[in-house]
Amino acid sequence: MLPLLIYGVMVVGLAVAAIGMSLLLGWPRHNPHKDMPYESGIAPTGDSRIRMSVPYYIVAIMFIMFDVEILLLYPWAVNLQELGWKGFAIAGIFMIFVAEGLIYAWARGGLSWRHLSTTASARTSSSQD
Amino acid sequence: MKFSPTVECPIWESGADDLLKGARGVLGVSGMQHVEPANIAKVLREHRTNPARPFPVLYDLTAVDESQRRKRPDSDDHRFTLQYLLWAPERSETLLLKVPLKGDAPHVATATAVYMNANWYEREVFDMFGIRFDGHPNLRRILMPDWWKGHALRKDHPNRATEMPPLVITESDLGEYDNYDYVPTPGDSYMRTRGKNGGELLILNLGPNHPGTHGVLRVILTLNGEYMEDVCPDIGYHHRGAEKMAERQTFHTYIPYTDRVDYLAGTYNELPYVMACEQLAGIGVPPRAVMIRVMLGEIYRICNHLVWFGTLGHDVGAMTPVFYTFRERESLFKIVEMITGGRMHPNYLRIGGCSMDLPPGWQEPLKVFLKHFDKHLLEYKNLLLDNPIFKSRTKGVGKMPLSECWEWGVTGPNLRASGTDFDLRKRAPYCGYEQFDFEIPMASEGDCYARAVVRHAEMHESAKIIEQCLRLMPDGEVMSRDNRFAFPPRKSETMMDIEALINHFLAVGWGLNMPAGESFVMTEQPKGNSGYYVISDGRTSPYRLRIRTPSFAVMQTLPELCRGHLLSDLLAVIGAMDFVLADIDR
Amino acid sequence: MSEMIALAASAPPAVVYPLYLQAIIAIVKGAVLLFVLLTLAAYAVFAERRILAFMQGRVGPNRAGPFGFLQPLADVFKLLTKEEANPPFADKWLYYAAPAIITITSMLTFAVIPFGPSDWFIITDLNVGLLFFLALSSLGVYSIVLAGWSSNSKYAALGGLRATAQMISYELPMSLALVGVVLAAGTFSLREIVCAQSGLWFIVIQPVGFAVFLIAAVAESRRTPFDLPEAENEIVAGFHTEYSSMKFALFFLGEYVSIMLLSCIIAVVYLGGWHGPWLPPPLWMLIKVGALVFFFIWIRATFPRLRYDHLMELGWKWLLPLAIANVVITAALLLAFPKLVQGAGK
Repeated sequence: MLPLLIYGVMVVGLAVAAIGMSLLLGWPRHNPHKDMPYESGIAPTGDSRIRMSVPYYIVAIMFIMFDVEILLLYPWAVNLQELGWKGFAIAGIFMIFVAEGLIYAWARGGLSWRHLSTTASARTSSSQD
Repeated sequence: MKFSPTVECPIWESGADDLLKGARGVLGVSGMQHVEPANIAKVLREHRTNPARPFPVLYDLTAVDESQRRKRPDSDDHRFTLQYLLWAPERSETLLLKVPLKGDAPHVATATAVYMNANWYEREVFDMFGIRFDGHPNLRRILMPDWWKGHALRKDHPNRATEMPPLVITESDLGEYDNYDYVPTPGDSYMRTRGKNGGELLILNLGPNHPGTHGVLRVILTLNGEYMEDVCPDIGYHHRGAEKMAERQTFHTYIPYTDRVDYLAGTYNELPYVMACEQLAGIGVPPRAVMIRVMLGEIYRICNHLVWFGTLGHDVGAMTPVFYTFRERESLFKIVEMITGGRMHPNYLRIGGCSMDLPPGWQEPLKVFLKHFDKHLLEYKNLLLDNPIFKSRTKGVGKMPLSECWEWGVTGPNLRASGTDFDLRKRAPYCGYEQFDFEIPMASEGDCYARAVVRHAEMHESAKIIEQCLRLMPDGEVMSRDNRFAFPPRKSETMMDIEALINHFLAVGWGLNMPAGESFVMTEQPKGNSGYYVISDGRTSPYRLRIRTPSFAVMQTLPELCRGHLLSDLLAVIGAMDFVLADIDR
Repeated sequence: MSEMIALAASAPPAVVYPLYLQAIIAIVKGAVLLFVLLTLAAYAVFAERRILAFMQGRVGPNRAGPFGFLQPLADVFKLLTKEEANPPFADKWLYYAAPAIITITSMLTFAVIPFGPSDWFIITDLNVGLLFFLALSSLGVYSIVLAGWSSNSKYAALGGLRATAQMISYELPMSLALVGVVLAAGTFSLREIVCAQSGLWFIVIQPVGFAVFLIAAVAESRRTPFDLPEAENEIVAGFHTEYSSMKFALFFLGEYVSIMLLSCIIAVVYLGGWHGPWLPPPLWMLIKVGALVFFFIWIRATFPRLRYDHLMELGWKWLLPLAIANVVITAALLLAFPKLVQGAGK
């Protein structure tokens, strides 16, 4: 563990040093135009921190569930030979549940989130899929 | 086969008297009609819906400030003439509606209810002439900033920047507009702050300084997540007043300016302009010059499509194709440079012919190029067109059905991607195109991929035309001998004969007195249908020059193509629609 | 499980140095590794520019030094002395932390990469090395998201949003593909995974897992065709639109260190690590990593960019089912033919 700790400190030190060094070498000079957020050479309209709609949030929730499920596979995977066919059967049943979850989400349209868009006008929706 | 283009038809002889009086109608349009301002909406609707002779397309809408015109063809008491150019592509018929408008700030009813694409054209007329259109949905300036004083194409507006005081913008100049650039304000359609599913809408300015917009195009996006709820192209950042410049250049010295309208199309910009001038002057062009024009035009068509192909690839994230296409374009530019001396701006065509003959040994590099070109086309196809990622990015994106293409005045390859083989080179041949053997590629899907396929195939067809030019190039002069309007041969006569020299000196230094009249020519440019409308009042420079460009028409459709799509699709659509900002803003 | 960990822990040779000596050895190894990493990352940039130029019919940087070999040095000096833009609208601490995070996470993972069989070629042989890699690679995404959010600029925000969308698309198949490797090797230690490949490289046992992992790895590196968070034609520079100077360089460094890291991981878990005939082991490792880095550069020159809903479709509808099937088939195969893997620990 010690070498990892020492190496970690070195890496963090490097990152901090790099940022600090450039602060020393290239100090900032401000002017009103430079101090505007970049928006293609135009004064920004409205705020960038708004409650933006994230149409893939269902996929994100599924991601967390599947990620946890996959985590459960690791202990089995590392002990595959010890657990033998019995372990395989148990893990197989578990995998069936995982796969079933995926198929269910897929069939219910949880993966194709384009339809969640608000302005799917007649033409665009007909052009999809 | 003997190449004998049909343009060798001096109309001078037939209508000399009319011509001197300046009373010849308008050359190059099939019909003309004077309409009273009050009736214009009704007349437009009649022409659009006329069952016998419908005009489905509003080709162009512009105005002329008549206040300083000599030899006016009609009554003398109106200030502006509004010109609607209707087009029936299937019958190759054009109809010019002239609407006289009195007074300094006239009003007229909008045509947007009849022809959708009148929207931007009316905004341009308002911007440039100050003519108001009642009932227009969004009558804002389009090319100049909102706070601009005056209307640039009026005759009383200064011709050059040096005639005006230096432009310093202060708070008071901006007046009611609180920003230099147009900023969407509450009440605009852009400032709906909430999307339908509760998320807030993000207003994003894409451009004018953006790596993906091919120049200084600004697109105001209303984003819901990454879906585009609304798209509004804001143009004018590349506006240089090409039409105004024509009014202080002589007919000949304006030719270099046309190069810079669609700066990727080289001689193909000069072509409609010199053809319109030749039509006005009534002079013919020798066959060799015509074929040189065709050959250079097709070379530039390939150049244009090469740039387009590479940048489309770049727009969807493939960085390599652009280097490959520019490699081929470079070898074409070497050939162009050998022939014309220029590369992107050749300034090669002249009224009555071409500036000089082809150099000795011009065939060899072209033969070498043509030998390898099909191989390269296959390479592009393998690299991009057959790539599954490219297909997924472009198929079904930016669809436009054929009827809407006509509605918006979209022409060229974008039109042919929607299921028609309409191409002026076949339907209304000019420059002897009917004597060449080539196909018109088309596709029916109308999406970005179809546009890519059509242009890719067009490059092959253009190569075929160039190959025929190589074989069939006729001998002879490259300049008309009608020395009233065309320059005499430089080396053989001008340098030998003092009379010819004086003639040449006057024609170049002072300019030609072009016969009064109006002349219109449309050609099939690489980007689509481009029309030049030249008005001469008998002096040495055009009284008014109108350039109808394909890019302007196609840019107006951007919201239609993009609404409801993802931000990434905007770039695919922009890349596939093939425009240059100079062609939009002029 | 517990006996497995005990087994793994007891695997290295049992020479125990005193604590101060361990520390000195660690410092030396760390310094050498960091030096090599930074140099290689700088030259990976150089190599990328030259190789891309070669593929695109250009020359590339060839002026600084012979064949342009000093170009990376010039770049570093330029970036160090560039003005440090310090936008007043940004969230200061997160804004500074973001580039550091990606550098730290990508460099830290190298601690568990074995470059050769001996103790000298690895900082520390963590018995959960593979999980360490997965954990840090997930943390790396924070850098992108935080950079996008803290910049307080719209393009950056869109870039950050895309980074999350991308992460939830590729990470599942990636970790599932690695389950196949763990099945075969029976350990999380990267060194032992390499030892387990002394007979047969894992790419032979599970080509599907390899393909899935390779695609996911390219997505993890956020490079073409998966460079959505920084797609320059669409959102200018994405998450690092507002960054300049060394902070920008750290993103760059992080990206190229990530490429090398992912190449190392692929080489270690699928291509037999340092195994190979005739040449010394670290050289084999270097060759394999070099070939993979070249592969990363090559696909950048070839492919267009995916749209992010397509990426999600690819991840969930193609890679994930494939990875699940791969796990089941691999497990069955290994149980049926236990002789397939003749590893060190087994």
